[in-house]
Amino acid sequence: MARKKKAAAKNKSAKKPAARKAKPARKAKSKAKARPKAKAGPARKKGASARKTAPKALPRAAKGKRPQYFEDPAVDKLHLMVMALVEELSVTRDRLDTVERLIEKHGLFNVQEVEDYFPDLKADAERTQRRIAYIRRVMKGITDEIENLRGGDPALDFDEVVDVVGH
Amino acid sequence: MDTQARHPMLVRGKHDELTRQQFVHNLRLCLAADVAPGNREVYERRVKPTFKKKNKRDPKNRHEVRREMTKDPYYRLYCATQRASQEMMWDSVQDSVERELPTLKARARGNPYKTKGTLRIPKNFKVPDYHTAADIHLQPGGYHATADGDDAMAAGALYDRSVYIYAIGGMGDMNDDLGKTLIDYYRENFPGEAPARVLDMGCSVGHSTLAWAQAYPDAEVHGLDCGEGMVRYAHARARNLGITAHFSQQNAEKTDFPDEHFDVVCSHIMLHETSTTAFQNILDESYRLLKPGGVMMHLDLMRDEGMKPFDSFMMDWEAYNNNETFLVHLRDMDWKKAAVAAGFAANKSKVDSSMLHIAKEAIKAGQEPHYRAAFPILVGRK
Repeated sequence: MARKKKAAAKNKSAKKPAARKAKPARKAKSKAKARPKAKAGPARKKGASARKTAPKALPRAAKGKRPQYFEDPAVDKLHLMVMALVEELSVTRDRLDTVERLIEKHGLFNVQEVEDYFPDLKADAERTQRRIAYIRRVMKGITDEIENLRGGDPALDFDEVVDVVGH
Repeated sequence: MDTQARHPMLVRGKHDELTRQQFVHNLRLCLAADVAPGNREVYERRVKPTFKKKNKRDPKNRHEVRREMTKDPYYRLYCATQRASQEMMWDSVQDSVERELPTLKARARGNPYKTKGTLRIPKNFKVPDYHTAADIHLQPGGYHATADGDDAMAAGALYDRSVYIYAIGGMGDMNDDLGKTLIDYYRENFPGEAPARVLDMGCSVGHSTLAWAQAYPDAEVHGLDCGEGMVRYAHARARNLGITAHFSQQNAEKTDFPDEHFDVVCSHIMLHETSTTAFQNILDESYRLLKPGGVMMHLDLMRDEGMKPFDSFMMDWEAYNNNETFLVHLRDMDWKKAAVAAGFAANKSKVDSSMLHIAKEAIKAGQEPHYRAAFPILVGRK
């Protein structure tokens, strides 16, 4: 316990440099990834327990102008999003692999059963439904335009809507 | 394979953090093995012929190659992905550091092996502008980050784990292969000599410093760095590994050590992270610090001289895309001339080179090394 108190005291004395470094921390907030520490706020709450739930925010963005690799800067951003998705898919697959290995380790069932699994009709129908809903969600950005066209009335652009709501 | 030595100060990652780090590690492996070699094909088959058709000659230097290659869609996508891998690397480790920091700091206060290693942090240290202009190799906050307070060491914890991922393990499980490379060089070229005092400039978390301390356990081995978090962490890491070394936050351009204090003054890929003025200052300081007969060795990246334009262009990648900007200038500079200007005799200084220790070991074992190239070493004997 004494050690914890000491650490909390150290934490208090750390306030000033943390404030000085506020800029990169703020930049980090614009990142797509959700960070629990951002929600918890900086470690200003007193006491060791507060510190435990609110780790200090470390810088996330490197200082220095980022090169633009593609003609349209949006492509640079899109590329980063794709890379992050590729990364997270790899992480999820690894997590599943861990689960499978633990299942075998604890003798719950033989993971080979997963390889050999063939869904019955009910399971197949449920899966298909879920899969199609998933694909539709991914394709929504493309298909919304068609839905608008099908609506009959031509979609109004912003200025036309302003005219409508303006009086 | 992620075989980094799990010493007590190395940040521990939770499942997804660890697999995220391992993903970046493997991504970099694929980029190096599968994607990067494609740039040469693109250059030879597409970019160079187009240039030749228009200009009736080949590109004459790396800068001309760069102008053409940066227009090529394959190279652009390679760069964007390589850059992303670097950013993802820091981010994946920062998650673990942020959470584990209180544990690491508590551990840093212990000295389980009762080593005699020391740590010195001066008051009002001024971080040089070549560190603050842009965060070197995209490490958020740079080597000098102190966002974690007066006992800052997050930068070191972040660096230790990330360097292993960056190098795809190519510097060994202790990240100490550059140290071992210079030690090999020293033993081969100055046989029978055992330094009583060694200084490792720009030591970061002491990866190479500890290689020296292990190679010469009777020597007094010092490491200095501009980053407070680096040397604090280096000190804690050394103590938790049971290795004695002395760390201090200092600028290698002007240290507080007395004249003629060291038998060896060295650095391991530090020079390209400085500046034109600092480069000369560091050589001047190396000369001042050496005892008569002492040896200076600064290992860095390949100079432009003697390289084919395309190979030399690729060697610049980290300068333009990874905030290691001074590399572009350093690769054109006359290192030997600078050593002579610092005081070293012309017949006692040279730019030599050496393959990595790990590459030599692989060859000895009948395997193909991952990286065959020889790194230049600026050597001077006082």
